Amino acid sequence: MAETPKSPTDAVENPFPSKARAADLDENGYLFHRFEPLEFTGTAWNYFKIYFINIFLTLLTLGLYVPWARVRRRRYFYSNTRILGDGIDYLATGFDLLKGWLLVLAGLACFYALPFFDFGFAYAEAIFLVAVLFAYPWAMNKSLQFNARNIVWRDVRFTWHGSYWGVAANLFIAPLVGLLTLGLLLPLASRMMRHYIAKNYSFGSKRFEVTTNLWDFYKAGLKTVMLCLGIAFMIIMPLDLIYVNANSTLEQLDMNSHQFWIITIFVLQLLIVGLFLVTTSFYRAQTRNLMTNGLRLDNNIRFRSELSGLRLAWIVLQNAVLIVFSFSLLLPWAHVRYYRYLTENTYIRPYNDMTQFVDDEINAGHSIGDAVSEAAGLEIAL
Amino acid sequence: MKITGTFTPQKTSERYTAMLLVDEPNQPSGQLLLAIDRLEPVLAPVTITHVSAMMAGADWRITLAGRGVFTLSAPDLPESLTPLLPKGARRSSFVGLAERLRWRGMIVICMLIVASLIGIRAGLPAAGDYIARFIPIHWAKTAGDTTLSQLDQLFLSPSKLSLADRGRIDQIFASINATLPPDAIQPKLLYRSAPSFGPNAFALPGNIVILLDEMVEFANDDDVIAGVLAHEIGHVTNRHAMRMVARSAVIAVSVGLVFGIDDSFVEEMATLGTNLILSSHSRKFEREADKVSIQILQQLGRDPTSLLKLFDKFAAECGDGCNKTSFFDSHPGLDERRALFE
Repeated sequence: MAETPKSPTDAVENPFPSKARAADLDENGYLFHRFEPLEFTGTAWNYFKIYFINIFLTLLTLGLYVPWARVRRRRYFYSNTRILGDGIDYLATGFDLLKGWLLVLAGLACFYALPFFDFGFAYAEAIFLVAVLFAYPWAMNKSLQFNARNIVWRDVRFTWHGSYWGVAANLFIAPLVGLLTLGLLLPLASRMMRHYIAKNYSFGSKRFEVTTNLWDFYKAGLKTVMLCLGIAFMIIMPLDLIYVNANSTLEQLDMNSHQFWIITIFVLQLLIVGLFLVTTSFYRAQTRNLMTNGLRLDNNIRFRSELSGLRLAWIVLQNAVLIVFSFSLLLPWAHVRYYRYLTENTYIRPYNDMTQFVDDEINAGHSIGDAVSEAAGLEIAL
Repeated sequence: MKITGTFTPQKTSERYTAMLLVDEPNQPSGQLLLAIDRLEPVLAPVTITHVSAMMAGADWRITLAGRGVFTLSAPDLPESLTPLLPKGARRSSFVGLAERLRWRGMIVICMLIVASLIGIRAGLPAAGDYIARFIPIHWAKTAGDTTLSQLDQLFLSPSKLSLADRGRIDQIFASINATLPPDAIQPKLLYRSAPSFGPNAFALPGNIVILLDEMVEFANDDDVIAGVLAHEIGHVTNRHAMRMVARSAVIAVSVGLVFGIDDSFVEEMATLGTNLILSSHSRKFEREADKVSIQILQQLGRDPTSLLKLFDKFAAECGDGCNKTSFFDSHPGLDERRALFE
């Protein structure tokens, strides 16, 4: 007959014998003051399955499954991203995203129905589009807010502290001005964008900080321009030769001029798209490195990013070609490859065991901004 | 059973090695104990309030009421935890299991997807046309008026045709309208000029036909003009404009649904592809309109092959490239159109 235990736990043996705490090593044996890479434990095959089941269920439910599909995609990437051994997790559910998704569908339906109603003036569509344009910064801001609160690491969530005008000025107007000045102010705009993003995130109650040098951004810009000119030169030269010798080429290829020009223009468009992808990835890698290397959390936690612009550009180019030629069947593989390259070349240097963070009680808010941002293709590339 | 994992007290970033104890010797059944290394109390009873959904490669996050999160790295939740899970939480989910399919299962899924896409592609015209039928006539009229006012603002100028010419062409138009069934809505003819468009005529929603001065000049033959007007009326009576709008809306929505989950890059590629599809629908409509044109001209007692003269004139300007049909064109090539007349 067993004796009545004094407390519920008395009867069960304590599995942890006490032992002295090892100095300077946290549970996973990470040494402090050393840069540790982030890990990505996902595989292309696992994501491939998730991706295609997403498409299948979306078709089956005539689109209603999309919020859940998005959640599964995000969870896959986040929870397989490990910082110091612990994965990030994404806590929003399909139901959270459903409201936003339904509203976006309703908005699209309204847009398509617009031309059929008489508002007393023409250009109702144009006004609708302008209104949507003004809504973008709102959507982006709300989306960042919603998603930050739903991303958690060891039970502390991130928080986004941005505002409508901050997002509008730094994430929309600044790059626009950068482009309008033919790129002269683009490095400045990039720096503003990167800084705004970095400075407005906090992990728990500790804000991120960032320090960068504007001249480094201009160096990145110059390198990108030189790369672009170099590649353009390599493309334009052969095309020039074809153009100059058009007649003999036509005879050799046995085509008429109409078809020839259609093909030439098509190829030219492809090359321009390729050049665009390469240039933007190269520049993005550089600015991401600059931002991450200058990032600090809680004063002493540092980060590092060692992306090679050329390697990233090459990955993006290969991915684009593969996606097109496989009719997007290989998209999951491409996505994983790109994400893995970014993740595994990002480092964190903790100065202690990272236990000092505490979550603050901030509400995530609704998901409408997130749904609008997804529909508009707005995204922050980190 | 001892389930090893890590424990994080709620809302903190602390991390401790921990174990969940269930069905251990001397442990009452239905009790779950949490044992944490180096944190007091070392052993405590807990209840599970939430379990994260199954996800390949990821850890399980098990939320313990009032305490924090227990993280478990394993492909499956242990059996012994099942009775302790909250209502509604399942150890596995349909989607999670589906995502564990081997390659044979995935091939079946891919085939199902391809079949659905083919079905959608085949059903597109029918779906678009079905929707087009429900569009009320006054909506179509508003759409047509809006388009016309935008065209007037951007491209079209007032016609410079003489009153005599207009009178003559109005009569031709009226005679064509007379061949339509009596309950059909009478199309309206409007004259415009647009040097940038070249010789052209088009039909807008709301039963509007627009004839450009440049076409009248280029054709230079009443029979040919009758053929062109009959062709445009063919578009009107078959509601081609509305059907194109409805079909492109259906495509846009389908693409948005299927590819909108993920990359916008893929969505853009798919949108380019949809232009090819729409062009093929457009070519089909042009063929239908050509057939209507032949019918109407025969009824009027005019030369049904008058459009051939127009094609010859086009060919003279355009060269060999216009004779072939390509995937990118909205109209069939001239050779194909000529063949209809034989």
